[in-house]
Amino acid sequence: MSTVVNFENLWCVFEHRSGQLVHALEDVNFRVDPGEFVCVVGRSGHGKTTLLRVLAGLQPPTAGAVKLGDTAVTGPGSDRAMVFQQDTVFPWLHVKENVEFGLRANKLPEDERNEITNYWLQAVGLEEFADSWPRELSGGMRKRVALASAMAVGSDVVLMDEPFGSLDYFTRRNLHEVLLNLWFETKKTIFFVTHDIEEALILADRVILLAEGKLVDDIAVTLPRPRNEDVRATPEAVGIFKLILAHLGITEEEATQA
Amino acid sequence: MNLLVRSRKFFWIGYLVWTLLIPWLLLQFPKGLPFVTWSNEGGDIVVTWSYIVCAWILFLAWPVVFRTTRVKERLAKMGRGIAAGPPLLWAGMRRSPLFFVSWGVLLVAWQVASYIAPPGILEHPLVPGWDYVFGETLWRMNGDWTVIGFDFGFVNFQVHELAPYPAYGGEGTWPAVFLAILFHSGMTLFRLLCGMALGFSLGLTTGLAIPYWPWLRQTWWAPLNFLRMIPLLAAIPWLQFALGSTLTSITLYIAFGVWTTLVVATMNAVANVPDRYIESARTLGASRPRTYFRVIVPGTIPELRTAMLLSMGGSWSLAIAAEFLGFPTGLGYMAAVAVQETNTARLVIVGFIVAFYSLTTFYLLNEGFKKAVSWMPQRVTKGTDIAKVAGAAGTGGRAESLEDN
Ligand SMILES: Nc1ncnc2c1ncn2[C@@H]1O[C@H](COP(=O)(O)OP(=O)(O)OP(=O)(O)O)[C@@H](O)[C@H]1O
Ligand SMILES: [Mg+2]
Repeated sequence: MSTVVNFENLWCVFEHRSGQLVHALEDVNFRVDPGEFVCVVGRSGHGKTTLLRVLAGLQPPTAGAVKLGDTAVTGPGSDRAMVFQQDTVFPWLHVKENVEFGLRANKLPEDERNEITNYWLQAVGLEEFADSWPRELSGGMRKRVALASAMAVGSDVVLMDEPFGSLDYFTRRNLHEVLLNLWFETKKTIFFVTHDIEEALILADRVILLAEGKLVDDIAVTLPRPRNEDVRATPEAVGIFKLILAHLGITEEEATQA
Repeated sequence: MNLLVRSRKFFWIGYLVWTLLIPWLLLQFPKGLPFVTWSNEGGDIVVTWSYIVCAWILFLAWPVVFRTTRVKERLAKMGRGIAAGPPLLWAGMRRSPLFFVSWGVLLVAWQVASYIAPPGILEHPLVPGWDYVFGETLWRMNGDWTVIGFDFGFVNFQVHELAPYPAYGGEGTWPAVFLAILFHSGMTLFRLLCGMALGFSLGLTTGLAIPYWPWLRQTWWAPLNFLRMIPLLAAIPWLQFALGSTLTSITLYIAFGVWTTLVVATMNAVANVPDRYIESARTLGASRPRTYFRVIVPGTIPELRTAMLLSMGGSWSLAIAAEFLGFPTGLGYMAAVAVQETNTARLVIVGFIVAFYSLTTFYLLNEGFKKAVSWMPQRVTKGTDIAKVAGAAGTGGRAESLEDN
């Protein structure tokens, strides 16, 4: 049902005020099949958000293209809902209205809208706060509202930019489960940006590694699911972990010291 | 039936119809009743004080009948407010005595100054004492009670029964003072309201339209921006030459003044809505118009709040200035008369009235905004006293009491 996503010779160059040219993306090429769970991993400032923004249609590439099937992305649309790195919950709408926003924009009938909204509010554990203002929630709670809003739209491709970065361990684990269940059920294509290698190992089919805007590795994660602690302790998992660390320029000793 | 009575539409449309019917209803009262002192002179209603009281009773009857519980709640709340007033005042005096002390000092200093200041060459003292201001001068305002009647087209009121006209040789009375002030400030308020309504709607629509359609900016912004630069006071005579001293001219004038600040403020507010909200809306599938009206417009409200409050303050000055320069009625006219007579005390009274009204309207608009932006983080929440916050920062009572311990 969903379409292939193709990154073709993608370049994204920014010119800063100082005149300095920043290569946020440099000749990125890869193809994502429908239903894949892709984690994008890289150090801070190495182009992860830019990659997602180009795919979302919010950032025109300098050269190359992102294609959904055969058509190049030219602008944003509800076929690629996005959870942003920053707080994007609309402060002037109640929590419930925030989750409903995309559904209203896509002109869903009211009963359907209510059903989906309630489902997602429950999934992120915020059904009690449906009528609260965003200012009355914590940062992590607002993050969950943003997650519910994007998921409620029901797009085939979902872009998530460090969505769980500010959440506590338990909420995080809980949401991993919610996300994976949804993914099993609907076979959406998910692009998930994270700093956290552990998280990538729990979620991903594939890890795309970015370093200074270049795609430095494309690692298939074939660990069996569900990926509990035991699975993540297998030699295969540890091998992938170390590989990613190495790509990020961190040796194992440094990692254990930190 | 019950449903009909409860519906908002029924209530408000009904209220309007009821209000328009009141003059006619009052004429149906039988003449024999002791309080029916009003009369109908060839289609003109001769208004008396009992007419006004009865009209008020009928006017208030509508909500009492159809919104009984709400009226009761309101009254109870008002009662509580009044009961809480004196203790609150007392507590306020104890907490921030400086506020009251400084007011007291100012008032007393003015009075003292009135005794020692040189009389000057004017007919009235340069520094009029409070006794002079609120005694003789206030009393003489009954000379401004000159209104014969109000013609609304469908109904015509004559008001000569309310108080005699000292200006036309009648006897001076306090009701005439009250009526004069009420009439002139009513005129100013009405003009202000018309001007602000037009100015706010024009300012908001142009300020919102120009960023939305780039071609509008390219074609219209340069001339509009030029227009904006015309000094407002210079525009008064011009408008008067063109349109005379009419409601239209002053409405346009105030609207223009409000527009000049509001259009820029609105455009700025639009530009200041964080991109991330707009981008988020777009990825959720919102169209451009939807993003504009559901995301950008609400995002501008906090900034517009300040702009609207400021331009309201400005529109008070504009209304007074325009009246001052060329209207035979209104608070500005009263000020103009005072200047002609070099009557300083009268200027003080007009100043007090204007300050009272502008504070009241400011308060009302601000309350309205508070409701509109209840989603915003509230800086001073209920129960937090601004004096406490300010005191904690400065030489507050808290620091002193710490030293005491
Ligand atoms: N709008 C922009 N204008 C100029 N430079 C930009 C812009 N957006 C990104 N960049 C530059 O592109 C590079 C990559 O930024 P990007 O936001 O993609 O990093 P990231 O991998 O998401 O980092 P983080 O993990 O810190 O979020 C950075 O060097 C940044 O300075
Ligand atoms: Mg980022």
